[in-house]
Amino acid sequence: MRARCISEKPTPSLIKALGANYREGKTVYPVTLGQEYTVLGIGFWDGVAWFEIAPSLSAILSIPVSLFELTDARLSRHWEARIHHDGAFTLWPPSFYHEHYHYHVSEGHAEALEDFRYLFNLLESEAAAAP
Amino acid sequence: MAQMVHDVNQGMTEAVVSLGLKTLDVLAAFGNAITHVGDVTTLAGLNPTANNGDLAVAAVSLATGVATSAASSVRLAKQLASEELLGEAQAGIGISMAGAGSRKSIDDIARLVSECGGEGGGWAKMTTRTRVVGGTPISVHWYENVTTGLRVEFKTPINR
Repeated sequence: MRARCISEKPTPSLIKALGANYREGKTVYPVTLGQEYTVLGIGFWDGVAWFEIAPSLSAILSIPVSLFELTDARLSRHWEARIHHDGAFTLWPPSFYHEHYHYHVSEGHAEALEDFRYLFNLLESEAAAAP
Repeated sequence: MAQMVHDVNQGMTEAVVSLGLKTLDVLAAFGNAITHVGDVTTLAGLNPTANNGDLAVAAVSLATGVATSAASSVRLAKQLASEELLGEAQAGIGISMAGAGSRKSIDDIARLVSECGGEGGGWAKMTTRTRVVGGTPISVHWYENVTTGLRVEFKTPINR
């Protein structure tokens, strides 16, 4: 799945839906208008749909889906569905469910980084392949 | 005829060296090599059949100067981007990657609470936006206590 950023800022209605997840004047989503991203995972929680995006190999981030348009709507075969205790639903690669995985990637831990690099390339290749 | 070719080559070499030195002066003055990379190609292309060693020396010298200046420019651009993003981080502009405000946990939370205080659930690992300079993504990460607004441990993971 791939998606293009169509807005760097949420609309007033999305800000309302984001609630405490959005801090006026502070929350800036690290996405670039017009840039296409490989969607690494999808999640639904707090009444909002989220894409997992990696602007670089040092950060896996949850960004509201409303800031994107789909350019390739195919779901990844590397995703695994889970329903969480708080009612959240996620379609993420199995690695993302490991406790502290995102944190370890952000910290540059060798093992997590190697796994993420492999995973990122896998998802990129899958998204680039012809249907 | 041979003398005429020699004279042309000699004149061309002097022109190239002179132009090369002037270009290097400009590069040194403005520190902007990228727009001058084309000059090397243009100078070498003035007489593609010339076999005068001086021409090659002048071109290599010019190219070396351009490459050094280009590297300096990229280094400077990275430093400026890093400083700009650090300013945003210090102002708390970014989003949570782990901890408060995300669904992911901070592995190092016990150390953070021990050293900086607060409640474990109040800390977030934050990131600024990412800027790409010379093919390298640059961002700033930090920890932020979303209750008190305390921000600590700013760092820039630039090599990934």
